[in-house]
Amino acid sequence: MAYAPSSTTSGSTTSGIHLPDTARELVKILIAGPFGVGKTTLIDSVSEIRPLHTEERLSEASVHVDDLDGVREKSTTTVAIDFGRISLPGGIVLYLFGTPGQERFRALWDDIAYGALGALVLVDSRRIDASFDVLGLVEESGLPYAVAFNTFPDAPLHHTEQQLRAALDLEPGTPLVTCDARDADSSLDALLALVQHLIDRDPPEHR
Amino acid sequence: MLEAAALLELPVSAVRVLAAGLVDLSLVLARAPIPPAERFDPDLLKRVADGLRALKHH
Repeated sequence: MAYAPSSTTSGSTTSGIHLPDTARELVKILIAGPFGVGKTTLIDSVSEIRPLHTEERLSEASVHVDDLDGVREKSTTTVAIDFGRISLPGGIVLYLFGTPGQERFRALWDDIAYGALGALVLVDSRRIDASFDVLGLVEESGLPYAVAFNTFPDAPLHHTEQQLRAALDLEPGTPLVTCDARDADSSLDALLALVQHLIDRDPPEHR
Repeated sequence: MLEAAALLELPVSAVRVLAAGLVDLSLVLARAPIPPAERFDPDLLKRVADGLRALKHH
């Protein structure tokens, strides 16, 4: 069984692994996207705890189920969910749930989406059609969402934003951003685009 | 539960069994979770956005 070496445990005073006592509000955001789009990578880049992955090595058994075309180097896949945590100043704790894009996990969706503020849908511009299932699931669940193109090094650059919007059939108000899931700041920007969208679509009403 | 599993690097199901045992022995206190934040509270959303901005570049 693998335990973290004690040296790192005792030395980790800067970003504690335990929730501060001031944590009082918990919010949840889903990171959704098709197989191989980088959900795990994004959560890794921003989570303050070592994220929990319920990930398994891709096996022969999934060859006909999980389409590896275009994601050559992928050797593991997330079976159920990824989970990460960000403590924000002011006592808010943001939980990130990476949710499976595979249609066969549809049954999990209602539970995972319950109580979430919204969803960040990751899209790979090399395989846009792979995102249709996920977008359908998100729309069905009624969650507000933003779309982030994860910039892979060999991703085609010739798409205009208009073309991408048309391909995904996005509402004009749905934010569309690009991000590098490996980069923390870039991933935070994508999350910010989603949160800003939630603020904008829900103007304070005087009641 | 998920967090404990992540920290211990154990399967969630194993941690669930472990936690149930600890609760039975009164070694762990089980209490209702902090209620989930209300959806679409504009003030909360703004504070989340501010918090995310504050986290950048450090």
